Amino acid sequence: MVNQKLIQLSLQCFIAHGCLAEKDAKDLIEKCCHSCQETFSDELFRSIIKTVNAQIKKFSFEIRNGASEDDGGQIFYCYVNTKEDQHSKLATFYTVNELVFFKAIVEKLIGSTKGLVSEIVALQGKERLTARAAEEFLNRLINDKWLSRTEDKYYYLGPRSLLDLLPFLRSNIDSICSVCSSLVVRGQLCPKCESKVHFHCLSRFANSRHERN
Amino acid sequence: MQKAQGELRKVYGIEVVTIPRDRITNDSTNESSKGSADKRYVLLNALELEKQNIISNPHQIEEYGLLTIILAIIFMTGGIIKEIELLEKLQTIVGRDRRKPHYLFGDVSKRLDQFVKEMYLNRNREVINTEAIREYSWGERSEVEVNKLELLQFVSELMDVPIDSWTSQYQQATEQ
Repeated sequence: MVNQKLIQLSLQCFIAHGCLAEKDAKDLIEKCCHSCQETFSDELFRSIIKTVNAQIKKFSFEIRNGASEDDGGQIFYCYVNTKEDQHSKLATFYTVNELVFFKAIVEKLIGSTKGLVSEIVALQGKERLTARAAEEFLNRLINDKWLSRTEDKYYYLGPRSLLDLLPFLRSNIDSICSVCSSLVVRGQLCPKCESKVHFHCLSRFANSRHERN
Repeated sequence: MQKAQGELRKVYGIEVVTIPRDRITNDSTNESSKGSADKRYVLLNALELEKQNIISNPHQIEEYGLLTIILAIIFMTGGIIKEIELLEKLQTIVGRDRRKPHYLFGDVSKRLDQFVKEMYLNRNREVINTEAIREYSWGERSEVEVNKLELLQFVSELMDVPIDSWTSQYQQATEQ
Protein backbone atom coordinates (compact mmCIF):
# COMPACT_ATOMS: atom_id res chain seq x y z
CA MET A 1 0.00 0.00 0.00
CA VAL A 2 1.45 3.32 -0.99
CA ASN A 3 1.65 6.09 1.62
CA GLN A 4 -1.44 8.30 1.12
CA LYS A 5 0.53 11.53 1.59
CA LEU A 6 2.74 10.44 -1.28
CA ILE A 7 -0.37 9.78 -3.36
CA GLN A 8 -1.74 13.26 -2.61
CA LEU A 9 1.57 14.94 -3.39
CA SER A 10 2.07 13.03 -6.63
CA LEU A 11 -1.46 13.75 -7.74
CA GLN A 12 -1.08 17.47 -7.07
CA CYS A 13 2.13 17.42 -9.09
CA PHE A 14 0.46 15.91 -12.11
CA ILE A 15 -2.39 18.38 -11.91
CA ALA A 16 -0.03 21.34 -11.55
CA HIS A 17 2.21 20.37 -14.43
CA GLY A 18 -0.37 19.38 -17.01
CA CYS A 19 1.44 17.15 -19.45
CA LEU A 20 4.83 15.70 -18.54
CA ALA A 21 7.41 13.74 -20.47
CA GLU A 22 8.19 10.42 -18.79
CA LYS A 23 11.62 11.48 -17.61
CA ASP A 24 10.27 14.73 -16.11
CA ALA A 25 7.41 12.85 -14.48
CA LYS A 26 9.83 10.41 -12.89
CA ASP A 27 12.12 13.21 -11.69
CA LEU A 28 9.18 14.99 -10.11
CA ILE A 29 7.83 11.86 -8.45
CA GLU A 30 11.32 11.09 -7.20
CA LYS A 31 11.27 14.45 -5.37
CA CYS A 32 7.87 13.56 -3.95
CA CYS A 33 9.17 10.19 -2.74
CA HIS A 34 12.17 11.84 -1.16
CA SER A 35 9.92 14.31 0.62
CA CYS A 36 7.86 11.44 2.03
CA GLN A 37 10.92 9.43 3.05
CA GLU A 38 10.39 6.76 0.43
CA THR A 39 12.96 5.39 -1.96
CA PHE A 40 12.17 5.99 -5.60
CA SER A 41 12.09 3.13 -8.05
CA ASP A 42 10.42 2.54 -11.39
CA GLU A 43 8.21 0.03 -9.67
CA LEU A 44 7.11 2.56 -7.05
CA PHE A 45 6.43 5.05 -9.84
CA ARG A 46 4.12 2.58 -11.59
CA SER A 47 2.50 1.67 -8.30
CA ILE A 48 1.79 5.33 -7.48
CA ILE A 49 0.16 5.91 -10.85
CA LYS A 50 -1.91 2.78 -10.48
CA THR A 51 -3.07 3.71 -6.97
CA VAL A 52 -3.86 7.30 -7.97
CA ASN A 53 -5.88 6.12 -10.94
CA ALA A 54 -7.82 3.66 -8.80
CA GLN A 55 -8.74 6.49 -6.42
CA ILE A 56 -9.66 9.13 -8.98
CA LYS A 57 -11.53 6.89 -11.38
CA LYS A 58 -14.86 7.56 -9.69
CA PHE A 59 -14.43 11.31 -10.29
CA SER A 60 -13.92 10.62 -14.01
CA PHE A 61 -10.24 11.48 -13.94
CA GLU A 62 -7.21 9.52 -14.98
CA ILE A 63 -3.47 9.92 -15.35
CA ARG A 64 -3.23 8.73 -18.87
CA ASN A 65 -0.02 7.93 -20.70
CA GLY A 66 0.78 7.55 -24.35
CA ALA A 67 3.36 8.19 -27.04
CA SER A 68 3.79 11.50 -28.79
CA GLU A 69 3.83 11.53 -32.56
CA ASP A 70 7.27 13.05 -32.95
CA ASP A 71 10.04 10.94 -34.45
CA GLY A 72 11.14 9.52 -31.10
CA GLY A 73 7.71 8.55 -29.82
CA GLN A 74 8.44 9.65 -26.26
CA ILE A 75 5.96 8.67 -23.58
CA PHE A 76 3.99 11.43 -21.85
CA TYR A 77 1.79 11.49 -18.75
CA CYS A 78 -1.25 13.71 -18.47
CA TYR A 79 -4.01 14.26 -15.88
CA VAL A 80 -7.18 14.05 -17.97
CA ASN A 81 -10.91 14.23 -17.53
CA THR A 82 -12.35 11.07 -18.97
CA LYS A 83 -15.82 12.45 -19.40
CA GLU A 84 -16.02 16.12 -20.20
CA ASP A 85 -16.75 17.80 -23.50
CA GLN A 86 -13.53 18.06 -25.42
CA HIS A 87 -13.13 21.72 -26.17
CA SER A 88 -14.09 22.91 -22.75
CA LYS A 89 -10.91 21.30 -21.50
CA LEU A 90 -8.88 24.23 -22.71
CA ALA A 91 -11.50 26.75 -21.68
CA THR A 92 -9.93 27.63 -18.36
CA PHE A 93 -6.62 28.58 -19.90
CA TYR A 94 -7.41 30.45 -23.09
CA THR A 95 -9.84 33.05 -24.41
CA VAL A 96 -12.83 32.27 -26.59
CA ASN A 97 -11.16 33.59 -29.74
CA GLU A 98 -8.07 31.53 -29.04
CA LEU A 99 -10.18 28.42 -28.61
CA VAL A 100 -11.94 28.99 -31.94
CA PHE A 101 -8.52 29.28 -33.55
CA PHE A 102 -7.28 26.10 -31.89
CA LYS A 103 -10.35 24.18 -32.92
CA ALA A 104 -9.81 25.27 -36.54
CA ILE A 105 -6.25 23.95 -36.44
CA VAL A 106 -7.32 20.63 -34.94
CA GLU A 107 -9.95 20.18 -37.62
CA LYS A 108 -7.37 20.85 -40.34
CA LEU A 109 -4.98 18.36 -38.76
CA ILE A 110 -7.61 15.66 -38.51
CA GLY A 111 -8.58 16.23 -42.12
CA SER A 112 -5.04 16.19 -43.49
CA THR A 113 -3.54 12.94 -44.77
CA LYS A 114 -0.19 13.45 -43.07
CA GLY A 115 -1.45 14.97 -39.85
CA LEU A 116 0.55 18.14 -40.57
CA VAL A 117 -0.33 21.74 -41.39
CA SER A 118 2.06 24.46 -42.42
CA GLU A 119 2.23 27.60 -40.31
CA ILE A 120 0.65 29.65 -43.09
CA VAL A 121 -2.36 27.37 -43.35
CA ALA A 122 -2.66 27.16 -39.58
CA LEU A 123 -2.68 30.94 -39.25
CA GLN A 124 -5.49 31.23 -41.79
CA GLY A 125 -7.90 30.20 -39.07
CA LYS A 126 -6.97 33.00 -36.72
CA GLU A 127 -10.16 35.01 -37.36
CA ARG A 128 -10.51 37.52 -34.57
CA LEU A 129 -6.95 37.40 -33.36
CA THR A 130 -4.26 39.76 -34.57
CA ALA A 131 -1.33 38.15 -36.37
CA ARG A 132 0.88 38.78 -33.38
CA ALA A 133 -1.62 37.39 -30.86
CA ALA A 134 -2.07 34.32 -33.04
CA GLU A 135 1.67 33.66 -33.17
CA GLU A 136 2.04 34.11 -29.42
CA PHE A 137 -0.87 31.77 -28.87
CA LEU A 138 0.73 29.15 -31.12
CA ASN A 139 3.89 29.37 -29.05
CA ARG A 140 1.91 28.91 -25.86
CA LEU A 141 0.15 25.90 -27.33
CA ILE A 142 3.52 24.37 -28.11
CA ASN A 143 4.80 25.16 -24.63
CA ASP A 144 1.75 23.53 -23.07
CA LYS A 145 2.13 20.60 -25.44
CA TRP A 146 -1.22 20.84 -27.20
CA LEU A 147 0.68 21.22 -30.47
CA SER A 148 4.15 20.30 -31.69
CA ARG A 149 6.15 21.90 -34.46
CA THR A 150 8.75 20.53 -36.86
CA GLU A 151 11.93 22.42 -37.71
CA ASP A 152 10.45 23.59 -40.98
CA LYS A 153 7.43 25.01 -39.15
CA TYR A 154 4.81 22.38 -39.75
CA TYR A 155 2.37 21.82 -36.90
CA TYR A 156 0.99 18.53 -35.65
CA LEU A 157 -0.92 17.37 -32.60
CA GLY A 158 1.12 17.50 -29.41
CA PRO A 159 1.07 14.82 -26.70
CA ARG A 160 -1.44 16.69 -24.57
CA SER A 161 -3.98 16.78 -27.39
CA LEU A 162 -3.41 13.10 -28.13
CA LEU A 163 -4.03 12.18 -24.50
CA ASP A 164 -6.59 14.71 -23.33
CA LEU A 165 -8.70 14.84 -26.50
CA LEU A 166 -8.55 11.09 -27.11
CA PRO A 167 -12.31 10.45 -27.16
CA PHE A 168 -12.81 13.31 -29.61
CA LEU A 169 -10.02 12.03 -31.86
CA ARG A 170 -11.34 8.48 -31.76
CA SER A 171 -14.74 9.59 -32.95
CA ASN A 172 -13.27 11.62 -35.81
CA ILE A 173 -10.36 9.55 -37.04
CA ASP A 174 -10.31 6.08 -38.50
CA SER A 175 -6.63 5.51 -39.10
CA ILE A 176 -4.95 2.99 -36.86
CA CYS A 177 -1.20 2.42 -36.84
CA SER A 178 -0.37 -0.87 -38.53
CA VAL A 179 2.32 -1.63 -35.98
CA CYS A 180 0.94 -0.63 -32.56
CA SER A 181 -2.78 -0.60 -33.42
CA SER A 182 -3.52 2.67 -31.68
CA LEU A 183 -4.77 5.88 -33.20
CA VAL A 184 -2.43 7.63 -35.62
CA VAL A 185 -2.68 11.19 -36.91
CA ARG A 186 0.86 11.96 -37.99
CA GLY A 187 2.78 9.12 -39.55
CA GLN A 188 4.31 7.51 -42.61
CA LEU A 189 1.89 6.65 -45.38
CA CYS A 190 2.33 3.46 -47.31
CA PRO A 191 2.70 4.33 -51.00
CA LYS A 192 0.74 1.26 -52.04
CA CYS A 193 -2.07 0.73 -49.58
CA GLU A 194 -3.85 3.23 -47.36
CA SER A 195 -2.23 2.34 -44.09
CA LYS A 196 -0.38 4.77 -41.86
CA VAL A 197 2.35 3.99 -39.36
CA HIS A 198 3.78 6.12 -36.52
CA PHE A 199 7.30 7.20 -37.34
CA HIS A 200 8.62 5.73 -34.11
CA CYS A 201 6.75 2.48 -34.72
CA LEU A 202 8.22 2.31 -38.21
CA SER A 203 11.81 2.76 -37.04
CA ARG A 204 11.37 0.19 -34.29
CA PHE A 205 9.92 -2.25 -36.80
CA ALA A 206 12.69 -1.58 -39.31
CA ASN A 207 15.36 -2.03 -36.62
CA SER A 208 13.95 -5.32 -35.44
CA ARG A 209 13.95 -6.65 -38.97
CA HIS A 210 17.57 -5.56 -39.34
CA GLU A 211 18.50 -7.53 -36.25
CA ARG A 212 16.83 -10.63 -37.52
CA ASN A 213 18.75 -10.47 -40.77
CA MET B 1 -20.87 18.54 -0.01
CA GLN B 2 -19.43 16.87 3.06
CA LYS B 3 -18.67 13.76 1.07
CA ALA B 4 -16.94 15.85 -1.59
CA GLN B 5 -14.87 17.57 1.08
CA GLY B 6 -13.88 14.21 2.50
CA GLU B 7 -12.80 12.89 -0.88
CA LEU B 8 -10.85 16.03 -1.71
CA ARG B 9 -9.08 15.80 1.61
CA LYS B 10 -8.30 12.09 1.39
CA VAL B 11 -7.40 11.69 -2.27
CA TYR B 12 -6.09 15.11 -3.27
CA GLY B 13 -4.87 16.52 0.03
CA ILE B 14 -7.02 19.61 -0.51
CA GLU B 15 -9.16 21.28 2.16
CA VAL B 16 -12.34 23.12 1.26
CA VAL B 17 -12.78 26.12 3.54
CA THR B 18 -15.86 28.31 3.81
CA ILE B 19 -15.39 32.04 3.86
CA PRO B 20 -17.63 33.52 6.56
CA ARG B 21 -20.44 35.67 5.21
CA ASP B 22 -19.68 38.72 7.35
CA ARG B 23 -16.24 39.07 5.85
CA ILE B 24 -17.54 39.66 2.36
CA THR B 25 -17.10 43.36 1.55
CA ASN B 26 -19.43 45.59 -0.38
CA ASP B 27 -16.76 46.74 -2.76
CA SER B 28 -18.56 47.00 -6.07
CA THR B 29 -15.36 46.52 -8.04
CA ASN B 30 -15.20 42.96 -6.75
CA GLU B 31 -17.45 41.22 -9.25
CA SER B 32 -17.80 38.05 -7.30
CA SER B 33 -19.59 39.77 -4.43
CA LYS B 34 -22.48 40.68 -6.71
CA GLY B 35 -25.32 38.23 -6.55
CA SER B 36 -26.55 36.46 -3.49
CA ALA B 37 -24.09 33.67 -2.76
CA ASP B 38 -24.55 32.59 0.82
CA LYS B 39 -21.33 30.76 1.08
CA ARG B 40 -18.08 31.01 -0.68
CA TYR B 41 -15.43 28.34 -0.77
CA VAL B 42 -11.70 28.39 -1.06
CA LEU B 43 -9.43 25.44 -1.74
CA LEU B 44 -6.45 25.12 0.56
CA ASN B 45 -3.52 22.81 0.20
CA ALA B 46 -3.37 20.50 3.20
CA LEU B 47 0.17 19.38 2.47
CA GLU B 48 3.10 20.88 4.33
CA LEU B 49 4.82 23.88 2.77
CA GLU B 50 8.01 22.05 1.86
CA LYS B 51 5.99 19.55 -0.11
CA GLN B 52 4.08 22.33 -1.83
CA ASN B 53 7.35 23.69 -3.17
CA ILE B 54 7.79 20.57 -5.26
CA ILE B 55 4.45 21.09 -6.91
CA SER B 56 4.85 24.73 -7.86
CA ASN B 57 5.00 25.60 -11.50
CA PRO B 58 7.76 28.13 -12.24
CA HIS B 59 5.22 30.61 -13.69
CA GLN B 60 3.16 30.65 -10.54
CA ILE B 61 6.10 31.33 -8.27
CA GLU B 62 6.68 34.78 -9.83
CA GLU B 63 3.08 35.88 -9.48
CA TYR B 64 2.62 34.68 -5.95
CA GLY B 65 6.04 35.92 -4.94
CA LEU B 66 4.78 39.40 -5.75
CA LEU B 67 1.60 38.74 -3.81
CA THR B 68 3.58 37.65 -0.76
CA ILE B 69 5.57 40.88 -0.86
CA ILE B 70 2.40 42.96 -1.20
CA LEU B 71 0.72 41.13 1.68
CA ALA B 72 3.83 41.58 3.81
CA ILE B 73 3.91 45.31 3.07
CA ILE B 74 0.24 45.68 3.97
CA PHE B 75 0.64 43.61 7.12
CA MET B 76 3.63 45.56 8.33
CA THR B 77 2.02 48.95 7.69
CA GLY B 78 -0.99 48.20 9.84
CA GLY B 79 -3.34 46.28 7.60
CA ILE B 80 -4.30 48.94 5.08
CA ILE B 81 -2.28 51.06 2.67
CA LYS B 82 -2.88 53.71 0.00
CA GLU B 83 -2.18 52.61 -3.55
CA ILE B 84 0.50 55.26 -4.11
CA GLU B 85 2.42 54.22 -1.00
CA LEU B 86 2.15 50.58 -1.97
CA LEU B 87 3.51 51.21 -5.43
CA GLU B 88 6.37 53.32 -4.06
CA LYS B 89 7.33 50.65 -1.57
CA LEU B 90 7.17 47.99 -4.25
CA GLN B 91 9.44 49.95 -6.50
CA THR B 92 12.05 50.24 -3.74
CA ILE B 93 11.82 46.61 -2.70
CA VAL B 94 11.49 44.98 -6.06
CA GLY B 95 13.97 47.45 -7.50
CA ARG B 96 12.91 47.22 -11.09
CA ASP B 97 14.30 49.31 -13.89
CA ARG B 98 13.84 52.94 -12.86
CA ARG B 99 14.20 54.15 -16.38
CA LYS B 100 10.82 52.66 -17.11
CA PRO B 101 8.51 53.50 -14.21
CA HIS B 102 5.38 53.12 -16.25
CA TYR B 103 6.32 49.63 -17.26
CA LEU B 104 6.42 48.80 -13.56
CA PHE B 105 3.09 50.48 -12.83
CA GLY B 106 1.47 48.96 -15.86
CA ASP B 107 2.56 45.47 -15.01
CA VAL B 108 1.79 45.74 -11.30
CA SER B 109 -1.63 47.28 -11.90
CA LYS B 110 -2.59 44.22 -13.89
CA ARG B 111 -1.42 41.96 -11.07
CA LEU B 112 -3.28 44.04 -8.48
CA ASP B 113 -6.47 43.69 -10.52
CA GLN B 114 -5.88 39.98 -10.72
CA PHE B 115 -5.30 39.65 -6.98
CA VAL B 116 -8.41 41.66 -6.17
CA LYS B 117 -10.44 39.48 -8.51
CA GLU B 118 -9.04 36.34 -6.91
CA MET B 119 -9.95 37.72 -3.47
CA TYR B 120 -6.38 37.87 -2.25
CA LEU B 121 -6.62 41.65 -1.90
CA ASN B 122 -9.41 44.06 -1.02
CA ARG B 123 -9.60 47.38 -2.73
CA ASN B 124 -11.46 50.38 -1.26
CA ARG B 125 -12.18 53.71 -2.83
CA GLU B 126 -12.08 56.64 -0.47
CA VAL B 127 -12.79 60.23 -1.36
CA ILE B 128 -10.61 62.62 0.61
CA ASN B 129 -10.74 66.33 -0.22
CA THR B 130 -12.52 65.62 -3.51
CA GLU B 131 -9.71 63.30 -4.49
CA ALA B 132 -10.48 59.63 -5.03
CA ILE B 133 -7.77 57.39 -3.68
CA ARG B 134 -7.57 53.63 -3.61
CA GLU B 135 -6.57 51.59 -0.61
CA TYR B 136 -5.60 47.96 -0.29
CA SER B 137 -6.01 45.48 2.53
CA TRP B 138 -5.88 41.71 2.84
CA GLY B 139 -8.64 39.91 1.00
CA GLU B 140 -10.74 37.16 2.55
CA ARG B 141 -8.81 34.51 0.71
CA SER B 142 -5.47 35.70 2.07
CA GLU B 143 -6.89 35.68 5.60
CA VAL B 144 -7.70 32.03 5.14
CA GLU B 145 -4.75 30.86 3.07
CA VAL B 146 -1.78 32.80 4.37
CA ASN B 147 -0.14 32.01 7.66
CA LYS B 148 0.67 35.35 9.33
CA LEU B 149 3.29 33.82 11.57
CA GLU B 150 5.21 32.38 8.63
CA LEU B 151 4.97 35.71 6.84
CA LEU B 152 6.26 37.57 9.89
CA GLN B 153 9.08 35.06 10.19
CA PHE B 154 9.99 35.74 6.58
CA VAL B 155 10.06 39.50 7.18
CA SER B 156 12.09 39.11 10.40
CA GLU B 157 14.70 37.03 8.63
CA LEU B 158 14.85 39.54 5.81
CA MET B 159 15.35 42.48 8.18
CA ASP B 160 17.50 40.39 10.51
CA VAL B 161 15.61 41.30 13.68
CA PRO B 162 13.83 39.10 16.20
CA ILE B 163 10.27 38.22 15.34
CA ASP B 164 8.69 39.80 18.41
CA SER B 165 10.16 43.26 17.78
CA TRP B 166 6.94 44.04 15.96
CA THR B 167 4.63 43.65 18.92
CA SER B 168 1.37 44.46 17.18
CA GLN B 169 1.98 42.19 14.21
CA TYR B 170 3.36 39.44 16.41
CA GLN B 171 0.22 39.55 18.51
CA GLN B 172 -1.99 39.31 15.44
CA ALA B 173 0.07 36.48 14.04
CA THR B 174 -0.03 34.39 17.18
CA GLU B 175 -3.73 34.94 17.70
CA GLN B 176 -4.46 33.20 14.40
